[in-house]
Amino acid sequence: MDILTEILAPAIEEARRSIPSAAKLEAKADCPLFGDGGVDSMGLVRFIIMVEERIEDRTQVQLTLASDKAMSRKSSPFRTVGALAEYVTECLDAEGYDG
Amino acid sequence: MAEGVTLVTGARKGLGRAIAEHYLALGHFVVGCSRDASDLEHPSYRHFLADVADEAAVKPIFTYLRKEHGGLDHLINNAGIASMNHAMLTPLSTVDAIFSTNVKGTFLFCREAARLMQKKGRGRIVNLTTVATPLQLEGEAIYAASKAAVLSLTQVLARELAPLGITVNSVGPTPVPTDLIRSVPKAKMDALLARQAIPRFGEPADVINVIDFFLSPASDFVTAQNIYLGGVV
Repeated sequence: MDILTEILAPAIEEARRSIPSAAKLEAKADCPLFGDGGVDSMGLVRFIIMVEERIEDRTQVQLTLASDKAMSRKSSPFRTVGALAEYVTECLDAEGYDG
Repeated sequence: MAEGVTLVTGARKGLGRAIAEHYLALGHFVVGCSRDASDLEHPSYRHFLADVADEAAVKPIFTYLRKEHGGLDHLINNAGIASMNHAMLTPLSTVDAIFSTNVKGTFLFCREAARLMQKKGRGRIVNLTTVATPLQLEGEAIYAASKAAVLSLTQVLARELAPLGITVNSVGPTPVPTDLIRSVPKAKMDALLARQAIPRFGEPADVINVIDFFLSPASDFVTAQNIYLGGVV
Protein backbone atom coordinates (compact mmCIF):
# COMPACT_ATOMS: atom_id res chain seq x y z
CA MET A 1 0.00 0.00 0.00
CA ASP A 2 1.26 3.47 -0.86
CA ILE A 3 0.80 5.35 2.42
CA LEU A 4 1.22 8.80 0.87
CA THR A 5 -1.52 8.43 -1.71
CA GLU A 6 -3.88 6.02 0.04
CA ILE A 7 -3.77 7.22 3.67
CA LEU A 8 -2.17 10.65 3.91
CA ALA A 9 -3.67 12.25 0.79
CA PRO A 10 -7.32 11.75 1.87
CA ALA A 11 -6.41 12.69 5.46
CA ILE A 12 -4.83 15.91 4.16
CA GLU A 13 -7.95 16.64 2.13
CA GLU A 14 -10.07 16.24 5.27
CA ALA A 15 -7.60 18.33 7.31
CA ARG A 16 -7.68 21.18 4.81
CA ARG A 17 -11.44 21.36 5.27
CA SER A 18 -11.54 21.19 9.06
CA ILE A 19 -8.21 22.33 10.55
CA PRO A 20 -7.55 26.06 10.15
CA SER A 21 -3.75 25.78 10.16
CA ALA A 22 -3.81 22.97 7.56
CA ALA A 23 -4.95 25.15 4.66
CA LYS A 24 -1.57 24.92 2.89
CA LEU A 25 -0.99 21.21 3.51
CA GLU A 26 -0.40 19.16 0.34
CA ALA A 27 0.03 15.46 -0.33
CA LYS A 28 3.64 15.92 -1.40
CA ALA A 29 6.58 14.25 0.30
CA ASP A 30 8.51 17.48 0.84
CA CYS A 31 5.53 19.46 2.14
CA PRO A 32 6.20 20.68 5.70
CA LEU A 33 3.79 19.04 8.14
CA PHE A 34 4.57 20.58 11.53
CA GLY A 35 6.31 23.83 12.34
CA ASP A 36 7.39 26.42 9.78
CA GLY A 37 4.96 26.23 6.87
CA GLY A 38 3.03 23.38 8.48
CA VAL A 39 0.20 23.00 10.96
CA ASP A 40 0.25 24.27 14.54
CA SER A 41 0.46 21.92 17.53
CA MET A 42 -3.31 21.41 17.95
CA GLY A 43 -3.56 20.96 14.18
CA LEU A 44 -0.92 18.23 14.34
CA VAL A 45 -2.78 16.44 17.15
CA ARG A 46 -6.01 16.49 15.14
CA PHE A 47 -4.24 15.44 11.93
CA ILE A 48 -2.58 12.46 13.66
CA ILE A 49 -6.00 11.32 14.89
CA MET A 50 -7.33 11.48 11.31
CA VAL A 51 -4.37 9.45 10.03
CA GLU A 52 -4.67 6.83 12.79
CA GLU A 53 -8.39 6.39 12.05
CA ARG A 54 -7.76 5.96 8.33
CA ILE A 55 -5.04 3.40 9.03
CA GLU A 56 -7.40 1.48 11.32
CA ASP A 57 -10.24 1.55 8.76
CA ARG A 58 -7.96 0.42 5.97
CA THR A 59 -5.78 -2.16 7.77
CA GLN A 60 -7.60 -3.00 11.04
CA VAL A 61 -4.30 -2.08 12.75
CA GLN A 62 -4.53 0.42 15.61
CA LEU A 63 -1.33 2.45 15.60
CA THR A 64 -0.22 5.03 18.14
CA LEU A 65 1.84 7.36 16.00
CA ALA A 66 2.75 9.90 18.67
CA SER A 67 4.57 7.31 20.76
CA ASP A 68 7.62 7.86 22.95
CA LYS A 69 9.58 6.21 20.16
CA ALA A 70 8.42 8.82 17.65
CA MET A 71 8.95 11.73 20.02
CA SER A 72 12.48 10.75 20.99
CA ARG A 73 13.83 10.52 17.45
CA LYS A 74 16.55 12.95 16.41
CA SER A 75 14.65 13.61 13.21
CA SER A 76 10.92 14.04 13.85
CA PRO A 77 8.61 11.86 11.78
CA PHE A 78 6.21 14.80 11.76
CA ARG A 79 8.51 17.29 10.01
CA THR A 80 7.21 16.59 6.49
CA VAL A 81 4.43 14.62 4.87
CA GLY A 82 7.03 12.28 3.36
CA ALA A 83 8.68 11.65 6.75
CA LEU A 84 5.30 10.72 8.20
CA ALA A 85 4.58 8.37 5.30
CA GLU A 86 7.89 6.59 5.93
CA TYR A 87 7.18 6.39 9.65
CA VAL A 88 3.69 4.95 9.13
CA THR A 89 5.14 2.30 6.81
CA GLU A 90 7.74 1.44 9.43
CA CYS A 91 5.10 1.16 12.19
CA LEU A 92 2.86 -1.05 10.05
CA ASP A 93 5.83 -3.28 9.21
CA ALA A 94 6.59 -3.57 12.93
CA GLU A 95 2.99 -4.69 13.50
CA GLY A 96 3.45 -7.39 10.87
CA TYR A 97 1.06 -5.79 8.38
CA ASP A 98 1.92 -6.91 4.86
CA GLY A 99 -1.01 -5.54 2.84
CA MET B 1 -31.36 19.02 27.72
CA ALA B 2 -30.01 18.28 24.26
CA GLU B 3 -30.44 14.74 23.12
CA GLY B 4 -27.50 12.91 21.68
CA VAL B 5 -25.25 9.95 22.16
CA THR B 6 -24.23 9.35 25.74
CA LEU B 7 -21.63 6.85 26.93
CA VAL B 8 -21.86 5.64 30.53
CA THR B 9 -19.16 3.43 32.04
CA GLY B 10 -20.05 1.00 34.79
CA ALA B 11 -23.62 1.03 33.51
CA ARG B 12 -24.72 -2.43 34.62
CA LYS B 13 -25.83 -1.56 38.15
CA GLY B 14 -26.00 1.07 40.87
CA LEU B 15 -25.42 4.68 39.95
CA GLY B 16 -24.31 3.89 36.39
CA ARG B 17 -27.53 2.01 35.70
CA ALA B 18 -29.59 4.92 37.06
CA ILE B 19 -27.64 7.36 34.87
CA ALA B 20 -28.15 5.18 31.78
CA GLU B 21 -31.89 4.86 32.44
CA HIS B 22 -32.20 8.61 33.06
CA TYR B 23 -30.68 9.57 29.72
CA LEU B 24 -32.64 6.89 27.88
CA ALA B 25 -35.79 8.45 29.33
CA LEU B 26 -34.64 11.83 28.01
CA GLY B 27 -34.31 10.41 24.50
CA HIS B 28 -30.55 9.94 24.30
CA PHE B 29 -28.98 6.96 22.58
CA VAL B 30 -27.04 5.41 25.46
CA VAL B 31 -24.01 3.19 25.16
CA GLY B 32 -23.03 1.44 28.36
CA CYS B 33 -20.18 -0.80 29.37
CA SER B 34 -19.25 -3.00 32.26
CA ARG B 35 -17.27 -6.15 32.91
CA ASP B 36 -20.43 -8.25 33.10
CA ALA B 37 -23.49 -8.46 30.89
CA SER B 38 -26.38 -6.05 31.42
CA ASP B 39 -30.07 -6.92 31.46
CA LEU B 40 -31.03 -3.39 30.43
CA GLU B 41 -33.10 -3.71 27.28
CA HIS B 42 -34.12 -0.63 25.33
CA PRO B 43 -34.17 0.12 21.61
CA SER B 44 -31.80 3.04 22.21
CA TYR B 45 -29.35 1.13 24.41
CA ARG B 46 -26.25 -0.79 23.43
CA HIS B 47 -24.08 -2.56 25.98
CA PHE B 48 -20.42 -3.52 25.64
CA LEU B 49 -18.51 -5.93 27.82
CA ALA B 50 -15.26 -4.27 28.78
CA ASP B 51 -12.94 -3.67 31.67
CA VAL B 52 -12.53 0.12 31.45
CA ALA B 53 -8.76 -0.12 31.83
CA ASP B 54 -8.35 -2.71 29.06
CA GLU B 55 -7.45 -0.70 25.98
CA ALA B 56 -8.03 -3.60 23.59
CA ALA B 57 -11.56 -4.11 24.96
CA VAL B 58 -12.37 -0.40 25.09
CA LYS B 59 -11.23 0.61 21.59
CA PRO B 60 -14.08 -1.25 19.83
CA ILE B 61 -16.63 0.84 21.78
CA PHE B 62 -15.24 3.98 20.19
CA THR B 63 -14.89 2.40 16.76
CA TYR B 64 -18.60 1.52 17.06
CA LEU B 65 -19.50 5.08 18.12
CA ARG B 66 -17.52 6.56 15.24
CA LYS B 67 -18.92 4.24 12.60
CA GLU B 68 -22.51 3.80 13.77
CA HIS B 69 -23.23 7.16 15.40
CA GLY B 70 -20.70 9.49 13.78
CA GLY B 71 -19.27 10.43 17.15
CA LEU B 72 -20.14 10.98 20.78
CA ASP B 73 -21.81 13.87 22.60
CA HIS B 74 -21.50 13.00 26.29
CA LEU B 75 -19.24 10.77 28.36
CA ILE B 76 -20.08 9.89 31.97
CA ASN B 77 -17.05 8.22 33.51
CA ASN B 78 -18.93 6.46 36.28
CA ALA B 79 -17.05 3.15 36.59
CA GLY B 80 -15.13 3.00 39.82
CA ILE B 81 -14.06 0.63 42.54
CA ALA B 82 -13.23 1.14 46.20
CA SER B 83 -11.67 -0.90 48.93
CA MET B 84 -11.75 -0.09 52.61
CA ASN B 85 -8.72 -1.20 54.53
CA HIS B 86 -6.08 0.20 56.81
CA ALA B 87 -3.10 1.41 54.79
CA MET B 88 -0.79 -0.96 56.67
CA LEU B 89 -2.88 -3.92 55.58
CA THR B 90 -3.57 -2.88 51.97
CA PRO B 91 -1.96 -5.19 49.41
CA LEU B 92 -0.35 -3.65 46.34
CA SER B 93 -2.66 -5.70 44.15
CA THR B 94 -5.54 -3.62 45.57
CA VAL B 95 -3.66 -0.42 44.79
CA ASP B 96 -3.10 -1.62 41.22
CA ALA B 97 -6.75 -2.59 40.77
CA ILE B 98 -8.15 0.68 42.15
CA PHE B 99 -5.78 2.92 40.19
CA SER B 100 -6.29 0.84 37.08
CA THR B 101 -10.09 1.20 37.07
CA ASN B 102 -10.41 4.67 38.56
CA VAL B 103 -7.49 6.52 37.00
CA LYS B 104 -6.36 4.57 33.96
CA GLY B 105 -9.93 3.74 32.96
CA THR B 106 -11.08 7.34 33.35
CA PHE B 107 -8.14 8.62 31.34
CA LEU B 108 -8.60 6.05 28.58
CA PHE B 109 -12.27 6.96 28.11
CA CYS B 110 -11.53 10.69 28.25
CA ARG B 111 -8.82 10.27 25.62
CA GLU B 112 -10.93 8.24 23.23
CA ALA B 113 -14.04 10.37 23.77
CA ALA B 114 -12.12 13.58 23.11
CA ARG B 115 -10.80 12.14 19.84
CA LEU B 116 -14.38 11.72 18.67
CA MET B 117 -15.80 14.91 20.17
CA GLN B 118 -13.14 17.21 18.68
CA LYS B 119 -14.46 16.49 15.20
CA LYS B 120 -17.79 18.10 16.03
CA GLY B 121 -16.14 20.88 18.00
CA ARG B 122 -18.24 20.11 21.06
CA GLY B 123 -18.61 17.53 23.78
CA ARG B 124 -19.24 17.01 27.47
CA ILE B 125 -17.19 14.82 29.78
CA VAL B 126 -18.22 14.24 33.39
CA ASN B 127 -15.97 12.32 35.75
CA LEU B 128 -16.80 10.94 39.17
CA THR B 129 -14.81 12.04 42.20
CA THR B 130 -15.73 11.44 45.85
CA VAL B 131 -16.12 13.24 49.15
CA ALA B 132 -13.63 10.70 50.54
CA THR B 133 -10.86 12.90 49.10
CA PRO B 134 -11.66 16.23 50.86
CA LEU B 135 -12.81 14.39 54.01
CA GLN B 136 -9.48 12.52 54.07
CA LEU B 137 -11.25 9.36 55.14
CA GLU B 138 -9.23 6.91 57.17
CA GLY B 139 -9.32 3.47 55.60
CA GLU B 140 -9.86 4.90 52.13
CA ALA B 141 -6.33 6.09 51.39
CA ILE B 142 -6.00 4.47 47.98
CA TYR B 143 -9.57 5.16 46.88
CA ALA B 144 -9.33 8.81 47.97
CA ALA B 145 -5.93 9.17 46.30
CA SER B 146 -7.19 7.63 43.06
CA LYS B 147 -10.10 10.06 42.97
CA ALA B 148 -7.76 12.97 43.74
CA ALA B 149 -5.98 11.89 40.57
CA VAL B 150 -9.32 11.92 38.72
CA LEU B 151 -9.91 15.48 39.93
CA SER B 152 -6.49 16.55 38.70
CA LEU B 153 -7.10 14.81 35.36
CA THR B 154 -10.42 16.62 35.06
CA GLN B 155 -8.84 20.01 35.60
CA VAL B 156 -5.90 19.50 33.24
CA LEU B 157 -8.01 17.89 30.51
CA ALA B 158 -10.48 20.77 30.78
CA ARG B 159 -7.70 23.13 29.74
CA GLU B 160 -6.33 20.85 27.01
CA LEU B 161 -9.76 20.25 25.51
CA ALA B 162 -11.30 23.71 25.91
CA PRO B 163 -10.02 24.91 22.50
CA LEU B 164 -11.90 21.99 20.95
CA GLY B 165 -15.26 22.92 22.50
CA ILE B 166 -15.17 20.05 25.00
CA THR B 167 -15.94 20.67 28.67
CA VAL B 168 -14.62 18.40 31.42
CA ASN B 169 -16.16 18.55 34.89
CA SER B 170 -16.65 16.22 37.81
CA VAL B 171 -19.14 15.45 40.52
CA GLY B 172 -18.19 14.07 43.92
CA PRO B 173 -21.00 12.09 45.50
CA THR B 174 -21.41 11.42 49.18
CA PRO B 175 -21.99 7.75 49.92
CA VAL B 176 -24.87 6.47 47.80
CA PRO B 177 -26.34 3.13 48.92
CA THR B 178 -24.80 0.95 46.17
CA ASP B 179 -22.45 -2.03 46.07
CA LEU B 180 -19.49 0.33 46.38
CA ILE B 181 -20.14 0.92 50.09
CA ARG B 182 -21.88 -2.35 50.95
CA SER B 183 -18.98 -3.61 53.05
CA VAL B 184 -18.46 -0.42 55.07
CA PRO B 185 -19.53 -0.84 58.74
CA LYS B 186 -22.63 1.16 59.78
CA ALA B 187 -20.86 3.07 62.58
CA LYS B 188 -18.20 4.16 60.11
CA MET B 189 -20.84 5.27 57.64
CA ASP B 190 -22.79 7.22 60.29
CA ALA B 191 -19.63 9.04 61.35
CA LEU B 192 -18.93 9.88 57.72
CA LEU B 193 -22.41 11.25 57.11
CA ALA B 194 -22.10 13.40 60.23
CA ARG B 195 -19.21 15.27 58.58
CA GLN B 196 -21.43 16.45 55.73
CA ALA B 197 -23.31 19.76 56.02
CA ILE B 198 -26.42 17.78 55.04
CA PRO B 199 -25.99 14.46 56.84
CA ARG B 200 -27.84 11.96 54.71
CA PHE B 201 -27.02 9.35 52.10
CA GLY B 202 -26.97 10.59 48.54
CA GLU B 203 -29.37 9.29 45.96
CA PRO B 204 -28.64 8.66 42.30
CA ALA B 205 -30.96 11.60 41.53
CA ASP B 206 -28.63 13.94 43.46
CA VAL B 207 -25.73 12.95 41.23
CA ILE B 208 -27.79 12.98 38.05
CA ASN B 209 -28.95 16.52 38.80
CA VAL B 210 -25.36 17.75 38.71
CA ILE B 211 -24.58 15.74 35.57
CA ASP B 212 -27.64 17.28 33.89
CA PHE B 213 -26.23 20.71 34.67
CA PHE B 214 -22.81 19.86 33.21
CA LEU B 215 -24.38 18.33 30.08
CA SER B 216 -26.68 21.25 29.44
CA PRO B 217 -25.87 23.17 26.23
CA ALA B 218 -26.13 26.32 28.37
CA SER B 219 -23.14 25.08 30.42
CA ASP B 220 -20.61 25.66 27.63
CA PHE B 221 -18.77 28.19 29.85
CA VAL B 222 -18.50 25.70 32.72
CA THR B 223 -15.39 23.53 32.69
CA ALA B 224 -12.71 22.24 35.12
CA GLN B 225 -15.30 22.37 37.91
CA ASN B 226 -15.93 19.81 40.61
CA ILE B 227 -19.09 19.77 42.69
CA TYR B 228 -19.14 17.86 45.97
CA LEU B 229 -22.58 16.90 47.21
CA GLY B 230 -23.91 17.11 50.74
CA GLY B 231 -22.11 20.32 51.59
CA VAL B 232 -18.63 18.84 51.69
CA VAL B 233 -15.84 21.24 50.70
